[in-house]
Amino acid sequence: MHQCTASAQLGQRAPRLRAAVAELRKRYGYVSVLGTDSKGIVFGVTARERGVDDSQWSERGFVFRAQKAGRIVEYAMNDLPEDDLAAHVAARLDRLFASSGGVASYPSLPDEPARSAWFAKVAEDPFSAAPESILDRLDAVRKIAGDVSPEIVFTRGVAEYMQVAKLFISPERDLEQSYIWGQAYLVAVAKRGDLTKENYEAFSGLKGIEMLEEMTPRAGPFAIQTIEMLGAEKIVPGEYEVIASPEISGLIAHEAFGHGVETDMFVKGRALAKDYLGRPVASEIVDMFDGAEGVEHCGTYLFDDEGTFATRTQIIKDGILLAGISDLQSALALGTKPTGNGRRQAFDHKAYARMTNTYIRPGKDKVGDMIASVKHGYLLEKMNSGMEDPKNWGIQLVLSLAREIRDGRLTGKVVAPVLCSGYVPQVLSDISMVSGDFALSGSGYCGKGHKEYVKVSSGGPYIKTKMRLG
Amino acid sequence: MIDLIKSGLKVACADDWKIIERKNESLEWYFIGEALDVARAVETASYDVSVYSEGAAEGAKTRGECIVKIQSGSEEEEIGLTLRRAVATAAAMKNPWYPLAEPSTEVPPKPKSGFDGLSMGEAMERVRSALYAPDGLDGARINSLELFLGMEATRIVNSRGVDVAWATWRGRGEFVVNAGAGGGEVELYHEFEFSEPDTKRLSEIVQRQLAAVRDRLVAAPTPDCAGLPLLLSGELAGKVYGYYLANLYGDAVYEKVSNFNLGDRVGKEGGKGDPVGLRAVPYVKGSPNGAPYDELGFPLVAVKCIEDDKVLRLVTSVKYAHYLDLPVTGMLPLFELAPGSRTEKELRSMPHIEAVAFSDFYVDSTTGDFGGEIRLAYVNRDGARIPVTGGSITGSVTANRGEMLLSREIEAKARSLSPVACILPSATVSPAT
Repeated sequence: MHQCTASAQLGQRAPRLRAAVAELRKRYGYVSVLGTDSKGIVFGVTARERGVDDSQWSERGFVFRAQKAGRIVEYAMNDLPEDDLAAHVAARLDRLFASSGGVASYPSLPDEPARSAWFAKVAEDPFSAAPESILDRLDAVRKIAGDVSPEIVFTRGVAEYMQVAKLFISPERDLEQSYIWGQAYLVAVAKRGDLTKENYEAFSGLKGIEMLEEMTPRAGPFAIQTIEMLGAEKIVPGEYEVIASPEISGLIAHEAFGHGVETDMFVKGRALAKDYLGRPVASEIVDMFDGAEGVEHCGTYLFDDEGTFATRTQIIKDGILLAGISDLQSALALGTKPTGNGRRQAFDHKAYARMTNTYIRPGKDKVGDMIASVKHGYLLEKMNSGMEDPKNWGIQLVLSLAREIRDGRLTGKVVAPVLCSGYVPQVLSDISMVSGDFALSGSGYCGKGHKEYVKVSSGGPYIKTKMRLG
Repeated sequence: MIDLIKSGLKVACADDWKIIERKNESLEWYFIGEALDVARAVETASYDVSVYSEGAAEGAKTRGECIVKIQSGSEEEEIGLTLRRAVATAAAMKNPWYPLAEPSTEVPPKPKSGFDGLSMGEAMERVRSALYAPDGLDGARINSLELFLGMEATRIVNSRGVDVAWATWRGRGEFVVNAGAGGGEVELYHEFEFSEPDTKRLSEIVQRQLAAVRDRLVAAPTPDCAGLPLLLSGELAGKVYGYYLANLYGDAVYEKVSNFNLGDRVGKEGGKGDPVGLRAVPYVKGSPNGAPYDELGFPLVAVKCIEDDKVLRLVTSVKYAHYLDLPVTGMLPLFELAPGSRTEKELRSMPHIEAVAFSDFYVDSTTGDFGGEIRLAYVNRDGARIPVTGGSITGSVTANRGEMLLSREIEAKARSLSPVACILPSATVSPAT
């Protein structure tokens, strides 16, 4: 096992940061600093090229947050000046406090005493391995997929690893964490005449090189699925019974009552869910959670980017909407307890209420029984993207593949691409079966609207519901 | 910092190298209603260092490359470790050989902006006041606004003597507008980019969204629209047009994922659409996404790539131009699309469904697929224009090749100077009920 260690760079700067925070506390009602030192590496291989580069998500920097007379401002930088750090930061914070116009005022940001650290482990360290060995493994998997059919004109194997290291300092808190997440992709493009289809298979988790072992057995089926896409038909638009795979049920949870209960949207009056707390929003067999605590995947951490410890929030219990997930500011505005969901894309981005690991709890049904119960519908399999609409409870899921079910059997017919939409409470209320399976996936990134990308996971069991497909 | 990195590269015995320095100074204002919720200032510098090596494999010259990030403020020892890792990694990569960018006598014009000479705070206030000017129009309001404005200074230096620099004002924003009240309130989201204090344009952006959200308030569920072509305008049309530039990039052609190649026709035999004409360009007035040089430091000059549906040139970096044995154009980031033969009014006079807001409109440049859930559209038929919401639209740019109608009027968008509106005859509308 490889044990992640504390960042030497952050450790070296910590005494100056502590001193600056202590000095700045004399000027402001609240002050804190988050330091990040995250390094990442990307391995990529195609039939024609190989590459190993640092990840675009690598970063090192610091963000100071201060509060004065209820106002909150932030200053982010990635290099500590050689002169008086507190004076440098204060000059910038003071300019921000001087911004004119109507301003929002918040109760005092909390600063309860805490000292804690978390250093995660992975089986095999991706940063100390020979790059060629990882590229060779990716190339072998890529070739398995590429050799399935001459219609596959392009294949790529990609693996990316990030070692995230963060330090949070306030007058009363001193927190540190370091962990590794990994994600890998097999990508294929297939052509038949003018028709082009692109497919990908993703792998992810708080994993090191061991993650690559999952790729080999999936390469062949993935290639066959890509060829299937070339023969996919257009779906006849309409409402259908659907069985959502764990990947898609996770996406439904994520877009429906993940984004829908981010409480900064409550503060802006942008989430209908605020008015439905304590009321039924889903079928009685639905339980839904979000938490950086409780499961181990790409959204797991000890503390968020505002220095709040991770928790697990039960969002829906027996179909009743129980609670939202919050950053510090929205919790203050709403008078609720922060849930440890204040996250930033990077040190130089603002913190928002964001998801972590979001999932539906498994039930007792068998997938075979679920398929057998469908008269005419689709098995939804392959996620492409999703978009939330917390205000009006719409939902958009783009899938690159769905399989037809008729009279309780898969017919072998596939449709692609598929755009799923619906009214969120109706989609969740129509959930009539929930399987005992459970899987999380955390490839890619979650945006807030169209920006602010953070690493999350989502998933759950197979669910049966109804959606509009087009 | 650049000198420290150069010295580290020398010690690490890098054959060839390139450094991209980006310095950013920006201000961010986050509003809820009209109240400033949070103000942020950001000052950062980043250093992307590419290390190149030359080698041989199976009797042919090879090139290796490794891009590493040097964190601002790193000390000599840390920089040395990172660069030695990069040199070793690059040496292990045995890709087909390609040349590097050489210094050029070409001096492309550098961007100028109306923001030049203003302080960041003054510039932000000018934008803010323009955006809020139409707020409250006929009862529709700005719910929240996020505004970002910064000056990004870029310098590219390489071992062959390239040393170029420029600075860009980079502005972007997103806002949500509301109409109605209580449980019946509806919203629309909009994002935009800018590099000029064009207050008229900025006010118009908000004004259009305020009008649109009022229409969403009274919108009917999207009905069956079988047989109606799709009209798109603004940035939605710009995304569809972007399919053509994306398929002209040399790397896509080299990897065989592009949908067309040099000499191909991008239209269709007997197609009734307007012929496509496309020029790849370094700048579009008002867009913050332009640049005088590409990421290798190659000077960018506009290039005619498609004329009357025929592909004349590909957009190629130094590397892929060599692989494809084509002249280098540099990686031109933006494009101009030639106007069509009909006025926007003529296009709008045809029966159609016009989508103006999706949950998330996607265009996949590889498959050509496009689509999105409808937040607001207008069904135009039988002399009426009915706002509708819900359901979805899907289609394929590939299926519409040769059939797309373009407006005669053109406008600047985030990534193009292109026709205001287009009609795509082939699209599937999934009704809301």
